[in-house]
Amino acid sequence: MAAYQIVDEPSQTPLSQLMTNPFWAVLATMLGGVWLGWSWFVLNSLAIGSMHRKKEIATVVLGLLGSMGLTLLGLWAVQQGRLDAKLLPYATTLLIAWKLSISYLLQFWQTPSYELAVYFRGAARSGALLAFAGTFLRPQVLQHLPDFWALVLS
Amino acid sequence: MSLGTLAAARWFEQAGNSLRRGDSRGAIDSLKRLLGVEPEHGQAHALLALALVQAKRIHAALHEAKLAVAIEPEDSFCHYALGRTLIVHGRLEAARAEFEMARTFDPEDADNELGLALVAEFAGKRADELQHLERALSLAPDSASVLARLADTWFRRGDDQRAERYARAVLEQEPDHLDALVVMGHLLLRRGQTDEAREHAFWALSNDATSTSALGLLVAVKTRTNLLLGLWWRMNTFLLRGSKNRAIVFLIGGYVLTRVGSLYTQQHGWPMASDFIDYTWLALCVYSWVGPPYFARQLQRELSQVELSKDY
Repeated sequence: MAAYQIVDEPSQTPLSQLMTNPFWAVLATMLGGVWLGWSWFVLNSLAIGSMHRKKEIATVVLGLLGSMGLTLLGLWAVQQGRLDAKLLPYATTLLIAWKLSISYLLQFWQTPSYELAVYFRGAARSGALLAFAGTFLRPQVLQHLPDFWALVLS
Repeated sequence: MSLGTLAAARWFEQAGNSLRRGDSRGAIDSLKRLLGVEPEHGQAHALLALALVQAKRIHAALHEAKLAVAIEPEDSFCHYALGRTLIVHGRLEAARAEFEMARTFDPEDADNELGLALVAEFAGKRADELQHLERALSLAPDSASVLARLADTWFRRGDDQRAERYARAVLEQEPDHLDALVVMGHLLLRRGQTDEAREHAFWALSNDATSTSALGLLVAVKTRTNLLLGLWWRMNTFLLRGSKNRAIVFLIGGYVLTRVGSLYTQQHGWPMASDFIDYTWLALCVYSWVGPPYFARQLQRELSQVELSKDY
């Protein structure tokens, strides 16, 4: 008998075995940086077969563009002497807030698809180890990058 | 009648029964089987939309409801299902139009009036809500769903006497009616009769273990008796009321405020104030980590006392 497929049911992909709870990707963003967290979100979106994957990938691209824009603005303001050294920590708070907003948004979108995927495919892998490893990977990766990219991807 | 049609009719009936019991997964499974055989069954798509709404899969629900209306544009139930789906998407005007369309095809169906009452409730039009409910009552004076809806409406408006009268009228007809049990439970809780309210929650859950309204009643009872749980629940309902973007705005806003506060106090020579802000934020983060499993365990402990009815 042909099975009827509802539009939001996750499609099986070769990456399906790699799916994890999106919560771990948020934690990875906090501990390791967006280079880890956001690439994890993209991978997870494909692994889950999320119905919003185009929107999720577009949001990651938007997040990166926003981070680049904010970093460029901050660096320009420092070079022009418009940003006092005292105000620098406040400016970086804005950058962190931007990255967290994008991460939470991705988590909120990805979670329903993840829960459906768990319902259809069974338990998913735990991402705890990689998320916590982000703490140690962070300096290893970021120290090799130019300052601008280190700020954007941290 | 062919075997396929007979099976389709049985699956449709099964799905309806499952949905009435609050078993949205069972309903979805039956309807997927049906649609595998008859993909152009408009009412099956409509019922699937309602089951998906109950399962909180609202994007898929909208897709199915639109399909239902496209297949059977002159079917009252298909328009009704689309109306219910549009409500959960917050598109109240479009939902109202669908219920009115449904009413033109079946003016005697009280459900369409209940749908219009729901739209009026969400739009904050209290007079309109009551008008539609009265019209529903005139169409189906003995309908348990209409009476239960009236009980709920009067409970929300603080008229406990009327709410109780309607709830009792429902329970005389159907002693296991879930919505009426829940309203009675809330009324008892409002009077401070916590144990009786808990019994009503258990009674409702024994007939439908997945009912969100019955679980809501049980949570309300627990939040009265457990301060930490109450705090967590209130914070969550505040954050998640409306759209998810609201929760993000509050979370990020909270982070920015505490960070700015911490930096400011540090720069102005108040290290203790800065530490206090940092630790408060940390405590909130830890609480948000520990809260959900703690909450789930408390609720599971309560739920383990529920004895499911034989019919469930």
